[in-house]
Amino acid sequence: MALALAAPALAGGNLYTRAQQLFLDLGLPPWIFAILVAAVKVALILVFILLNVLFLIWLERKLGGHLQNRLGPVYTGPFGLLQTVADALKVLVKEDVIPAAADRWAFIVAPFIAFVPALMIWLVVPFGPGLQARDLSIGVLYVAALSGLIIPSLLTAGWSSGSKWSLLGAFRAGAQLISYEVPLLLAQLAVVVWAGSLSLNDIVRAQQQGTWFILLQPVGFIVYLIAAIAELNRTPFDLPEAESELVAGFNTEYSGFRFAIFFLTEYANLLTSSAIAATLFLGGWSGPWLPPFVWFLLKTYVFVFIAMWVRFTLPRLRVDQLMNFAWKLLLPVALLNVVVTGAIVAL
Amino acid sequence: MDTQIEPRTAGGEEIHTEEIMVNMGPQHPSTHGVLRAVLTLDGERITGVDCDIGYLHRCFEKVSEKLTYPQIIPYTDRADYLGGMTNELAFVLTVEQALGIEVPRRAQFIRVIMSELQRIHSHLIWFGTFGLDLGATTPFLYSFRDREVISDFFEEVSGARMMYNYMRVGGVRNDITAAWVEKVREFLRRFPAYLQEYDDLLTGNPILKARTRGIGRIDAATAIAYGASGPVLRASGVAYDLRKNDPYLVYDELSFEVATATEGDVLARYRVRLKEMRESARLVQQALEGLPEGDFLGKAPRIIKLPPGHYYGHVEGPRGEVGCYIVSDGDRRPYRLHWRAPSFVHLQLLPIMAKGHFMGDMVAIIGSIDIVMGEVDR
Amino acid sequence: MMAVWRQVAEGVTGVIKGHVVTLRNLFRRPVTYRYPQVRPELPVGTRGIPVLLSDEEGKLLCTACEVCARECPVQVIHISAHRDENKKKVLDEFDIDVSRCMFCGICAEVCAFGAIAMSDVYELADFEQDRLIYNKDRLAEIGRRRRGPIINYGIKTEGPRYGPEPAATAASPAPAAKTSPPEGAKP
Repeated sequence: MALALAAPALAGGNLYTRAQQLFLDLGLPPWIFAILVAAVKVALILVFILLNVLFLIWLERKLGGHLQNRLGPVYTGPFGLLQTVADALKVLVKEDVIPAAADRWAFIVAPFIAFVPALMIWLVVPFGPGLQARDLSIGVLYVAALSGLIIPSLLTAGWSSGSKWSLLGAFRAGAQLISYEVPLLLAQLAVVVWAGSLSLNDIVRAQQQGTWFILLQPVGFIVYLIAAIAELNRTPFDLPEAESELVAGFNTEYSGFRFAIFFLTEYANLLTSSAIAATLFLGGWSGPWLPPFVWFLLKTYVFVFIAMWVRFTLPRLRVDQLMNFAWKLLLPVALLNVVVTGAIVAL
Repeated sequence: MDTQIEPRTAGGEEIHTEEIMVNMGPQHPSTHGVLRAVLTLDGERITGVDCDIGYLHRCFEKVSEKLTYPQIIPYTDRADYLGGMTNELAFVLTVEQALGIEVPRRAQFIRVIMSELQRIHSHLIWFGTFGLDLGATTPFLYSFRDREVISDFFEEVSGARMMYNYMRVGGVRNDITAAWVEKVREFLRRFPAYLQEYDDLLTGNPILKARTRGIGRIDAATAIAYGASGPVLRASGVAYDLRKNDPYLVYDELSFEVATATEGDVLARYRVRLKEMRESARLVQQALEGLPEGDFLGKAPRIIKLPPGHYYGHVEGPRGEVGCYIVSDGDRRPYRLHWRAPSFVHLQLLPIMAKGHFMGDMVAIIGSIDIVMGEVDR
Repeated sequence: MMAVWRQVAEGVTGVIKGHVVTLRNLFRRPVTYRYPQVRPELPVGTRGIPVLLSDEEGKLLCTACEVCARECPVQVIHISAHRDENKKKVLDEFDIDVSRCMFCGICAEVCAFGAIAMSDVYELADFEQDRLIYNKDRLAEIGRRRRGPIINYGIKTEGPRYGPEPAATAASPAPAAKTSPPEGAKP
């Protein structure tokens, strides 16, 4: 039973078996217990993501502030830690504006199309040994499939807003995300070839036994880093929402909690990409002395820091340069990397 | 990399897609105020630019007809609000020239110091906002950090950080103190390090080069035909600088280089402005060295009346030639005042520069001509 | 081929250099501060609201000559005065409409008696437009907070930087102000 894998993770082996026994003793059918366990897992993952996203938004502003010789948020709580909470409250009490020219239902649905896959990816992320909601044997493929789902959301948002800026942003988003998906997948593919498994858990174990893949796949890591930042729409690849060009791109017309959902998705995706990067290249939860979960978080935040650091340093590319970069530079390099990796593994 | 755009073709035939028209501004993050540019876009490509101005019109020229000459000085600050000192200078020089007033040497040196500090001040803002236009947020904060120091200098001598009201007919409002001079010296000592930081952060960046090289190119002939001046003209290879070509104050006694470039594109204008900051720092240094003792405010009539006639005075502002044209009928108030605003002139070049480039280049081009809408609309 | 590699190398070093700059600044002390708690040290002569100065006895220096009102480019100073039994001008009203004042400092400059100075009170936002018209008493009150000499036509004040609350009479509607009695100075 697949559930058994995650059991020690959630509540410790004994508690899990005891609870299971309790349910069986009460004469309830086992599927109720299965649903309950699944619900608990979902709740835990949701809490994990939301807490981290709250922290990430604060971190971005604080780190951005200090990188730019500013203080960043200071007025809300110690070190301004409650800034995101204050922002969330502000955004939630705002008027919900749906433009008259908008395609109403598509406009309403678009943020959620982006939000839900961002959460679903976490099903396969290994937080620690056994600490994983479900160890899919096709983990990497699953992650790739779900992260691709953001494209229709952005296209829907841009199209349905009924604004030209949004439309331009959506065009850009579509072109950019599809282009960068390719090198991103190829970078992951090289790791998969090396580890010989699509399961994220197996990839971590392969790194635990050998070395981290960042040492074996430096090119793959750099390609992943660049492509992931592009996938996240972050500077220097933030063209879909380039504020100095397109006002706010695809989310120009969004306000209130719909905007908050987009915002949340953006940071949830940042967290996801970082977690995947940590798992694929930095050895995931493996590491000495500290508990695996802490290692996992630390490595995730290394990637987060890099993404933020890059954001506050580089200017933005232009739309044609963006495409050239993806297809003429990143893609050949990633392909070559896969070929070389394959050759080495075959030998 | 040459970005001359070729028509898109398929099977030898040119592809035409439906063009869309978007209003860039007046509420847009990078139109530097309230410029409204009606863009015709073929996808991301700009096929037409139509500028609509006047959103910041405050009747400066008309109001001036109802004001006495000393009262106009604070208004000139508000024309180009990033170049207050040079604006005031253009105005008081015109009045002084009309009246034939001799300005004390100390006042002339102080005016040079202020003009050049103003140039650095304005170029720092340009640098920051240009980075912002290109999507880099950090240069903005760094340049504002350093500009703040100059603002403090201005505040100490004039009492205000932007709207100085410092120049007077016959001199300047307040004297500068030895302590102030020392502070400026200290700033100038640190300034090269700041510029080095900007170079490391932005100038050396391959993305910046790719975004700016070959974009918004104008040749010298077009620039001259349109009456461009300042960094925009100099970046097209014309070494025209009023400080050299029609020296005012004591510029002919000071040594400096006119920053020029030949490419005429956004990158060239970027380089020219960075070079100008270095030269301005040199000028301030020299003016501080040669600062004579004496009066800071010379003799001027208590009631200023310009003899009937037409007067034109001009100075090299941070953005180009700032000109003041006064028609007097002998009254205490000008009969007519016209302001030559370099931004207004340069804005006319925008359609030529932008056509055929991408939407993303538009903001780079607007940033590179460094418009101040307060000056365009006046 | 060599040129391409050089270009790549230049690009990479350019990007790395930029990151070094931002990283170095991460460990520098921020230049901003928590504004309402920490306030900037303003130089004397900063042009905040123009205020009326008094002598040691607390009597206003203003002689109601109205030069400032005449020279004010935006015409925000309103003065009214009457002549006492010695044919001497006595100041009744002196209002500055701060909402239209552009803080150019010309009033302080032209005053032959040094009765007006630019103060460092700059936090003038208010909830009602009427309260932005500062009358003689309010202007004099800020002037009495003066600390140190007049430099560059400006003074430094002590105490809170906000302007004083309008007196109870000033808070009443505008018509009342027009008919206020000539005697204004209160001990």
